[in-house]
Amino acid sequence: MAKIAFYGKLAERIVREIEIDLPAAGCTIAALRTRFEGLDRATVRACVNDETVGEGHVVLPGDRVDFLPPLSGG
Amino acid sequence: MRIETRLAHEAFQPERELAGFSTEGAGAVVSFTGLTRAETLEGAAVVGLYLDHHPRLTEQSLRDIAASAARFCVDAVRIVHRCGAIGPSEAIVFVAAAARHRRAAFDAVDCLMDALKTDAVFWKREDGVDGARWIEPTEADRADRARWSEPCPD
Repeated sequence: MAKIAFYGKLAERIVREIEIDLPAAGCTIAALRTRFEGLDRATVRACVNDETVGEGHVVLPGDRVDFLPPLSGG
Repeated sequence: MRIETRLAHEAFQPERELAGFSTEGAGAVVSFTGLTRAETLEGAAVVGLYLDHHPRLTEQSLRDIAASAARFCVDAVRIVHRCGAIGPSEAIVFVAAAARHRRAAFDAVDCLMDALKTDAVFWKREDGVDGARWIEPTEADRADRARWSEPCPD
């Protein structure tokens, strides 16, 4: 299992947080994006365990993934 | 430089934040308070704002932004930022800087606000009588931020 969290308009459209099953070998951020709608790589940043990661990063069971839409700022 | 940051989940009183900001030895204290505007840019009445935040990255961004004031000769900075549901005319953000001289304090607060407007980890939804919309930084916000990318004056 891995926890996937969404923020801002993504949370409104998809869900705040969801747990998903992952194979033991994990899955890449690029593959994870395809499981949800609207996770455009050009604008939606992916973080794993609070670190920004690239498309090839492998998400493993137990990881926490955050998909961050463009910031509004304060 | 002393750094104080706080993510406020409930309404806060800017005057109390200023009163509680220790400024011993400073010759200048500058503070700024941002409030929820009563109207959207299009002129519709605002019912309120909702500021979504990340459980760790948001507070980290406030600390990082506050630390960036070290480029100015300031002794202390304080940032208090609201999250959650915010009503019209409520305080969203409070920024203060204490320094030996006024220019450093003015510049630090000005720079911190520009950084907060683009770099703080928030997602802002404006709820108006004509509907809700998520807000992203404008070109003007980015231009304000870029003002501070020039090398520091000697």
